[in-house]
Amino acid sequence: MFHLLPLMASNLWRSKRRSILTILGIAVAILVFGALHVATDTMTMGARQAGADETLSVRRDGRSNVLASRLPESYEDRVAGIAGVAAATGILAELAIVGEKNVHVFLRGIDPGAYRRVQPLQVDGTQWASFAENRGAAIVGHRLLEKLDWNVGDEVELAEAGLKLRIAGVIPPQGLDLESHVLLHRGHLQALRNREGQVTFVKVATGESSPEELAARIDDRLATAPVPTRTTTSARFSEAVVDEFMGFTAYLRLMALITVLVTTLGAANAVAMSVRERTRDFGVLKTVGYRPVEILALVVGESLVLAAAGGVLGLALTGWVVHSRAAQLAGFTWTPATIGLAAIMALVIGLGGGLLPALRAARLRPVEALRVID
Amino acid sequence: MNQADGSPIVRASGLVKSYGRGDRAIRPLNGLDLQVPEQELLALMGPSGSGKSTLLHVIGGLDQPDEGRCEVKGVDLATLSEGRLCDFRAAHIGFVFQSFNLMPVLSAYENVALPLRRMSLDRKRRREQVEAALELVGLADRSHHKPSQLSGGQEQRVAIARALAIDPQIIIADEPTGDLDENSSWQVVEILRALSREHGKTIIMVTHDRAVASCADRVLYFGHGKLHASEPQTTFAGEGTV
Repeated sequence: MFHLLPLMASNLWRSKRRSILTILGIAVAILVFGALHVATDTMTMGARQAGADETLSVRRDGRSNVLASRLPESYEDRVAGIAGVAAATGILAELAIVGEKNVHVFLRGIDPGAYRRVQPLQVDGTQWASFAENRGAAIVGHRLLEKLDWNVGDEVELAEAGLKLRIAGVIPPQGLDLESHVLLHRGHLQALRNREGQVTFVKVATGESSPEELAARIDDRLATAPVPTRTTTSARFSEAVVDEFMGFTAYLRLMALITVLVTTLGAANAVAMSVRERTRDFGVLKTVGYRPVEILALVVGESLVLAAAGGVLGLALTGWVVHSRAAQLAGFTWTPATIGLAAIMALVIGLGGGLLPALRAARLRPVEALRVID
Repeated sequence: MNQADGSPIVRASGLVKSYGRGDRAIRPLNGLDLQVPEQELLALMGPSGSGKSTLLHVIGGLDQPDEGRCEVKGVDLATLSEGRLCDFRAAHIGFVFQSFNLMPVLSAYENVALPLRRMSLDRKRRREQVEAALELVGLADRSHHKPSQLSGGQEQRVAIARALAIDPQIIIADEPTGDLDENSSWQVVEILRALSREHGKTIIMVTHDRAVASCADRVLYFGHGKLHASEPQTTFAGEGTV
């Protein structure tokens, strides 16, 4: 089918403006798709990272909203006593909105003495000691510090949360979602939010048991407790936080697919217009011996060329957006999966947009096409 | 069938083709018979709508008759699948249209090369064939011009070169001089006559122009959906009306 390439190129060149507009449309769709994928990818990054550390999260069963889970603080001792549990600590998770830009901040009320036995975390020893000694102190993820223009040593006020905190230290880059969180004393957060004696979940460091078996054992042992539990790996828990509390990863994915669908229709319209205008040409091609399958390949090929050009441009734009300062502060990174999926979407646009017009062109009877001419 | 034995290269018998239904039905081909020997330049004349183009489409394998049989080079076209029919056209039949039908985005050279692109020819051989065809119609020096940069007569000569590129035995020309001025018309007629006499091509040409037709080896006239050796006394459009 290589003999069709020069014909393809000249046909695309024939309607330069339409070709360029179609390429730009596809590029924008790939940009939207890529950027949304990067965003959802970043939001669920915590879930994937948590998956690597094999910790478990014990939360209240039956709450659809993960962060609405409430467990008695005493559950950390109950859980710690179960065979196979290496360590357990209760965490109170809250969300605060900070500053004029309404930045969403995850607050984690922790027990400084127990937390790092469960969650491996690299923090400067002096800073951690300073945090542990001071009930009004906080350790802040480096991304959040940069985003809110805070510095270690600052006194900051989270007015909406009714919190005043002194920043005792920073969580440096280490590939954790905690890099955009605030860690503060659990007792302090409980008092401010009237949640004395409550935690959101208990984080568990596993011993030698497999995490899944241990999770089942914990729920089994607490089945008759006043508050039944649901234990999952921390990866699933983080995923649930993102999916259920933030609530829009699925929405974002849907938006991305709708963008691709709309663009596919747009591309199909552009290719269909091109086919209609070239009815005579297809008649001539068939007359001189081109088979229907060659006509099909010609039109689909043109559509794929447009999609490939739009895909490359869209990915370049996505790269530019992902590497912008704002995206970097939000922790956005793109992965081979994003590039691969965007390429597949470009292919879908190309095939989906080209196939129907191509079939129409391939089925065209030469006599009818020539009649259009005369 | 071997045409070297003098048998016709085109043999049509009992061709019937109808369009429409009821009172509006017309039958441009109504039991038409035709035999065209090799190397003949045949002119078909008749009023508009009398079935000339329909007959050319049937002979060229672009359309099928409702009834009857059309053999080209001994092959019954009705027995060929769509794909094989494409291959048959690509190998044996060249088409020339009234409105030239050149691809506007391609140069004269590329237009002529169009039927050759789908053949497994090496580039050198293809170039030779394209250049020979352009040379034959006297446009070797216009090979890089786009159709919009050529006169009507030159465009039609490029179209003839495109039909010649595959070196077909049969050329079907549907009013090849219909859109041309007198001078260009004669150039085209001269080329067609030379193709028949010097290059052994069989040419079936539809024309409204008596002067053009007079250059043919034979002229046949449409009337009542059939062909006649002399012009029928009363002919009018839609003559084959059922």
